[in-house]
Parts: sequence; C-alpha cells; structure tokens
Amino acid sequence: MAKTIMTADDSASVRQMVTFTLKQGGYDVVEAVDGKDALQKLSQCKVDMLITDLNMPNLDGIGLIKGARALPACKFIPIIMLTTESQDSKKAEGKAAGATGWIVKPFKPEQLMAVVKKVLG
Amino acid sequence: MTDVHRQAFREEAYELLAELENSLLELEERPDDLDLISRVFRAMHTIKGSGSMFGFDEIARFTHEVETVFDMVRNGKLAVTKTLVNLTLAARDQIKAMLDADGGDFDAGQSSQIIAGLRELAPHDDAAAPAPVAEASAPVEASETVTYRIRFTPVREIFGFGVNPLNLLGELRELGPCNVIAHTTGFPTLEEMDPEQCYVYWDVILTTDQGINAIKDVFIFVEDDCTLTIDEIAVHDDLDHEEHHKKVGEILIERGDITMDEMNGLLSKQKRFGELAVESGIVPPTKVASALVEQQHVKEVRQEKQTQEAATSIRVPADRLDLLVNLVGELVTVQARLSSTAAERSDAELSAIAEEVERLTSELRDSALNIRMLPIGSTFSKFKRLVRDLSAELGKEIEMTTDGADTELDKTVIEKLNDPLVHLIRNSLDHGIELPEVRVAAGKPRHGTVHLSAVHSGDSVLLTINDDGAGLDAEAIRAKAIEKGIISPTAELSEKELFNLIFAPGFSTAKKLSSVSGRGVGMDVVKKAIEALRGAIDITSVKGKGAKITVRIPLTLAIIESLLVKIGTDYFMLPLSLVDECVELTRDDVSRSHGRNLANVREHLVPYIPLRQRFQITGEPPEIEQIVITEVDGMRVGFVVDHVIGEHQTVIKSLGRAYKNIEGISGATILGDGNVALILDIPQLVQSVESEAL
Amino acid sequence: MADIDIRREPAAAGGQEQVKLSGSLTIAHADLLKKELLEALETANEVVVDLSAVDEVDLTGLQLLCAAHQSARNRDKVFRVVDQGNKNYRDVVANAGFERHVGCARDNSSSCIWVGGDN
Repeated sequence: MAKTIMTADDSASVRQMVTFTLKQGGYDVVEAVDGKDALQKLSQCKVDMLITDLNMPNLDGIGLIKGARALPACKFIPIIMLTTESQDSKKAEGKAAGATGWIVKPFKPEQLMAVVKKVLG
Repeated sequence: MTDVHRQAFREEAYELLAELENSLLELEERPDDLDLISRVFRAMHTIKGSGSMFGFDEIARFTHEVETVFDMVRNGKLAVTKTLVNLTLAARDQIKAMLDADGGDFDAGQSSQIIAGLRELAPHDDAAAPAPVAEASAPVEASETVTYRIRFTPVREIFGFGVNPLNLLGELRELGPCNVIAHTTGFPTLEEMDPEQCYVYWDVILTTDQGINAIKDVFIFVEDDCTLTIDEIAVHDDLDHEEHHKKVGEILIERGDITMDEMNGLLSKQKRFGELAVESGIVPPTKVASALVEQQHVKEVRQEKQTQEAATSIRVPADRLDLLVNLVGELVTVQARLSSTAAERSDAELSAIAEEVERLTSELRDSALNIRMLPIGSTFSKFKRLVRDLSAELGKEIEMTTDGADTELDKTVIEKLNDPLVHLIRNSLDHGIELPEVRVAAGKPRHGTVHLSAVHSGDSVLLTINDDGAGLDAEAIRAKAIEKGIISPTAELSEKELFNLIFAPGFSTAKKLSSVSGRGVGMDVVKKAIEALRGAIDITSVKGKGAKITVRIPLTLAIIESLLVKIGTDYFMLPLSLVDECVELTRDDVSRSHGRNLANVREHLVPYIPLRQRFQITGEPPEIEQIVITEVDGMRVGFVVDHVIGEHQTVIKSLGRAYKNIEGISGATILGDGNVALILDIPQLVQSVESEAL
Repeated sequence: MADIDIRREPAAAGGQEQVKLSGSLTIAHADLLKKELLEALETANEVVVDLSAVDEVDLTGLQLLCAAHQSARNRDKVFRVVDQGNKNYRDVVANAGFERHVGCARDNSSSCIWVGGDN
C-alpha cells in the first residue's frame, strides 16, 4: 500500500512540484494550502508524513507542527519543514515544536526524495 | 517537467503581484495594519522562495531585498512610509517586468535603482541572498577506507520527533560493511516501561570510504536529540597487515566501558579477557559482545582488503617457499620443546616468553603455509585439453565443465593430485560415458558431460568428478570380482561395498584393454596415491544415470593435527581427522572376547588392532589400555595403545629413502622433548590386517 | 498503519498462556501491547508469545518483548517467543542489532529471547 504524504504550502507552484515529485516516487499526496487547512485535513485522513512550509497565512508552519503533534494519529509521523531561512533559529523553533527535519529552499526534486526516503525508510 | 513548474510559478507570481498591489494600496491608508504587513512580507517571501526553486534567480535575488525590508517592518524596526510604499510598488512592477521577460532582457538599471532606494531606507548588511539551487551534492571522492565505532544514544523522546532510529541504522548500512549491536541493558521492567519512549542505544562498527561527514549526515536531523560519538578505530591503508588486532580489553577501555585498573586486575588471571570481564561483573555481557563484534569486524575487513590486494604479487621460486615451510616446521618443533621446558620449570617469565613464541609461531606457520596455497584452476584447464583429445580418440562426444577453479590447495598437493585425477577422468571417459548412438538410444543427449568441481570443506578440499554416463553395474562388478577371486561367490556385499571393489588391486571391468585406461594400472593405484596424500576416495553411482567420484584431500601436507599416543616407551601419532573417540580396554575385556579382538562400544562391536603386538614391542601392557577408534572408509576400527597423551600439532618429516616402504608408517615427527614419534598410516594398517585375515 | 490483533488464550491461573500477535507491533499500538502483556504475566506462570503472523514490528515492539522477559524473570515466570521463522520479525531483530549470542547480565536463566534465533 502506497504511503500518503501531505504537503502544506501556500505557494501553488511549490505544492505542484512537491506533489509531482512524490507521486513519481510512488507516494500518494494530500495538498493543503495553509496550516489551518492542513490541520483540518490531518484530523480527517491518515497520513504517513507531513512536509510543511514555515511561512503560511492563517496558521504558520510552527503552529501546524505543534497542532499535528497533538493529534494521536500524527504523534509519531515524520514532519519535514521547508525553510528558506537557513538560520538556525527557525530550525530550532521547528525542532522544538516537534519537527523531524528540514529542507532548505531552494531544493531539487532529488533532494526532496532523499529526505523522504531518509525519514520514511 | 521543469517548464510545467516554471509556468505554474509564473501564474502564481502574477496572482501574488496583483494581490500585492492591493495590499500596498491599503497599507498606504492603514500603515499600522500588521495583517497587511505580513501579507506583503509573505507575498515577497513566496515569490523569492518559489522563484529560486524554479530557476528565476534574478527575481529571487531582487525580491530578497524587498523581503528583507519588510521583515524589518514586521519586527517593528521600520515604519511604513509613503516612500517605502512607492519603492515597493516600483519593485512590484519591476518583478512583473522580469516575469514578463521570462528570462529575456529587462531593465537591470531599474532594479539597481530600487535596491539602492530600499537600502537607503533600511540600511542592512548584505545578507545572504538566496543561493542558486546547489548542484546535487558532489559525489564524495573515494578516500581511504576507515573503520569507525559509532555510539548512538537517542534521547528517550526520540519517537516524538517522528524519528525511527532503525532507518538511521539502515542508512549506515548503505555506507559500507556494518555491524550493529543494540544495548538493552538499561531497559526498565515492563511495568515501568513507557512504551512510547526509546531505551536502546547502539554501538555500530562501520567500515566505509565515504568519510566521517557521510556518517554525520545520517544523523543530521537528530544532532540535538542524541548523544553521538564517532571514533576512528582503524584505517585500512596499504600498511594494514602491519597493524595489530586490538584486544577486547583495549576496545573496552577506548569505549570507556572499563578502567585500566579494572582491566589489569582481571589480566592477572590467566583466561580469556572477555570471559573474565563478564564473570567479574564489571562489564555487562552485551558490552563485551559488542567489543568482540568490533574486533571481528576489523579482522574481516582487513582480510577482505588483503584478498583484494592479492592481485599485486611478486614471483618467488617455489623451492624457496618449500625451504621456508621446512624452516617453519623446524621452528614449530623447537617451539614445542620451549613450551614443554617452560612448563616443567614453572618459571613465570619463561612461560610468558614461551607463550609469545607459541603465538608468533602459529601465526608464522599459518601464513607460511598460506603462501604455498594455489588455486586448483590451472590443473582444471589441463584436464579440459585432455578430455577434448581423448573423446576424439574414443569417438565420443564429451564436454567437460568445472567449478570451484579458485579453490586453493597446497602447491605440493596439487602436483601430487595430477596423476590420480587424470586417471579418474580417463576412467570416466572410457568406461562411464557411452558412445553417442548408445546414449541417443537410451534417451540421453548425444553429448556426455563430465563435471569436475572443487570446494572447501573444513580443513579439506572436496574434489568431485561427476559423469552422466552408464554408471557402475554392480552385478558386473560382482561377477568380475568373483572371477578374479577377490571375493568369494557367496559373499554378501552391499552396493557400496561392491562399488568399492573397483579400487581393489588387479580389478578391471573394461571388456578389452583400451589405450586410455586399461594400461595395467588400476584404480587401486589411484586409491593408494590419494591415501598417500592423507585423502580418501569414495564412489557413488546410479546405473544408467552416471557415477560420482568424491576425493577428499587435506589442505596441506606439511603439518597435521594429530593424536599423540604412547606404547611402552615409544610415541606414535594418529591423524586427528580420522579419530572418532577413545575408550578404555581392561584385561577383563580382553579375556572376555576370547582373542577375537572385538570391543563392545555402546552395543556395537568394533574390531581393534593391538599395536603392541603388531609392532612387536616388548614389555607388559598396563592394566587398563586405551582403544583409539578411527573411521576409515565408513568402517570403525580401534587401535590399542598404552596411553593417550593428547592432541598435537605435527610437522611431518619424511622417513628418508631407507624406510620409504615401511608398512603402516607414513612419516615421523620430533616432539617437544626431542623424542621421535612415528605417524601411523591408518588406512594401510587396516588394509594389511584385513588381507592377513582373509 | 495497519492494526494490531492480540489474541490471548488464558489458561487456568498459574498455567501457560498463549498470546498470538498479528498485524503491526508498532508505536501506535505500544500502549495496548504493554497492557495485554502485563495482564498475561499477572495470571499465567508461563507466557508464550506467538509472532508468526506479525506483519510489522518496530523498536517499541522489540523493547516491550525484552522488558516483558525481564519482568517475567523478576517474578520467576517463563516468557518465551515463537516466530516460525517469520521474516517480518527476524529482519527487524537483525537490523536493530538485537541478535545475541549471550543474554544480558540480568538474564540469570539463559532464557534471553534474542539468543540463537531458531525456535
């Protein structure tokens, strides 16, 4: 059974690229346009992994990570944050909220797949 | 695919820019509206971030400037002014122009002007502009191969970060040969265990040429959620073989699992260090096991490395190697004397030296013998030629296949094997494989096949010659054996025993003498030659399907493991590979068997040969004698001796020409105390006793 | 994330209890698995866990089995696992580095469930 990954990003083009890449890698993908949308969808369907942007309207990435970790179904899933900030402060904030790892934008499809493989096994 | 994403980005950016325009106009009216400010920031952020993803580097660089300014506004470091809004609107138009140009020409001067204006408003460091997409990480140049010891202790809450430590171990495995040991010692009981926490920590011994950074990369996401130590424990370069193997104690000290004082305390006792450490309770067994794994891992990697380097070789005349092996043989003998002298004197210092010499000698012996090991392949290729020529001569179509050509055997053994193997193969071609017409009539392919294979098995090599010919005809053999007077017409023999008759002297089943195999030398000569190499030969066959001859040959001739026994004042050796067990023989036992020389061993009768009588050694045997039971050709035969002394590493010395043909003795050796012990030729002894009995 | 199925065949108090596990021995079900194993150890004198139908196991599953064995030792009870060579289970044991030649210091009865590998 294919694993399901959620991509939460307010940038349609990034979502499209992430979705395209993951589907080519054999995963099912659920898209969410911001943190609120993502959290709502997470409480309805089961996903195996979450890839989230940090800067999003309504609910930002940090808020989404905290919210997801509070859901029983998402307590232990890998959560990867997309960050343009290579500063450690954002990474640390995300890690403290419960993120598993990060990808620094800009990234290439193969870099995305490498990280997915790394955390999903 | 990139074009699709570029197009998606352009559409998205146009939308964002339209939104941005509205937001900016509103912002002019409500300069303190935080929601508007963050909307502007986010639009810029997205355009920058996504732009860089899809190759719009100019746009990303330019937008970065605007984003930086709005980051300051967002953080209250800069107020929204009319100038700022004007500049940002201009920037927005500029981004649109750049999008329109889609990689073509645009007014770069305009960009610089806007940037200069923004910088004037909000002076800031030339912060890192987004770098263009980094080239997929350049492959790490294969550097030297290093073995690392990694201790990975994740925090208890590691699962809560969505981390599966097993995936990390999997990634390490991809870097190279890897041994993983989980430490479970700190586990709480089931009652106290929080099932969602991680209590394990690991020692991983990894050999890789990817460098330490590749290992660190594996743990990049968990850096702050674990304790990680990576130690280099061995570098496998060209000087590899000169390094010594670390002792278990050294490894435990390096790891901090035990202190130097504790180790020295243990070492004063004479035992394996690992066992001591566990018994003493200082170190838990899992930690010792882990250290042992490390030791083993390094050894294996080194061996692997050495095999790889075998290609670089030098040529040495064979007789120099023979000389070396002979000298090593002498050394083993002297070393045995040293050890026994040291033991007699109970001098601790001397004993220590003797032990050191013993260890070195055994290493030297192994490596010296190793040098003489050659792959049997060269012999195999000679046989191919033989098969080709002979099958033409016989009018048969025969193909020869081989495997295990890289199996190694002592050079001298290979040389001595040549003739017997030639004979066996000739025999298969001549008697085994049928003429093409006969084969076709029997529903077989015209082509007969002879398969020759070599494979290691313990301290021996198994050579098999397998043909798909007619097989042995047990009845024909019986008839021939009766005709030749080898067996009596009433003898009841199993199929296996009948097959083995072809090795009996003077037996030949060929209807007429052909030039190929019927040259007067029978299979008995082959059997003798194999036994002279301390080997054994066996044959199985299915009539009509073919025959399989198995030859078992010891790896080397120079040194054997043997059992040292004593009769009167004389010492004898029995090759350990033939010895099954030892049992006692009392005078009562002897008298009960009424001179039939049969011992009752666990309800089975085993015939024995009293060596004292056989060798006419004078004097009285002790009250209780010993029977050393051997197995030869599937038959158990005992040898009665006075005392069994123990196992012994025996360097075989030939007896010299004068004693070459003494029956029952295959050689001699010199013992530690200078005494000479004769090496018994068990199969020959059994045979000669059997033939006397007939 | 598949489900876990825990089928217990309790014997009379003090007897042998069979616990047949199938599905996913993963962190999502770790609490449940702990509870059931504890209950089994309360009543039975010997607990035999059958892993032959397990599809998936993670570190938390291995930890619980190991801890259950220890708890059984503390109570002078017997805890054993059988797996009929189930690869889903054995591969994880090997990958996680749990395979042993000797049990840990607390394994005073040489009954460590990781030793050997053949049941």
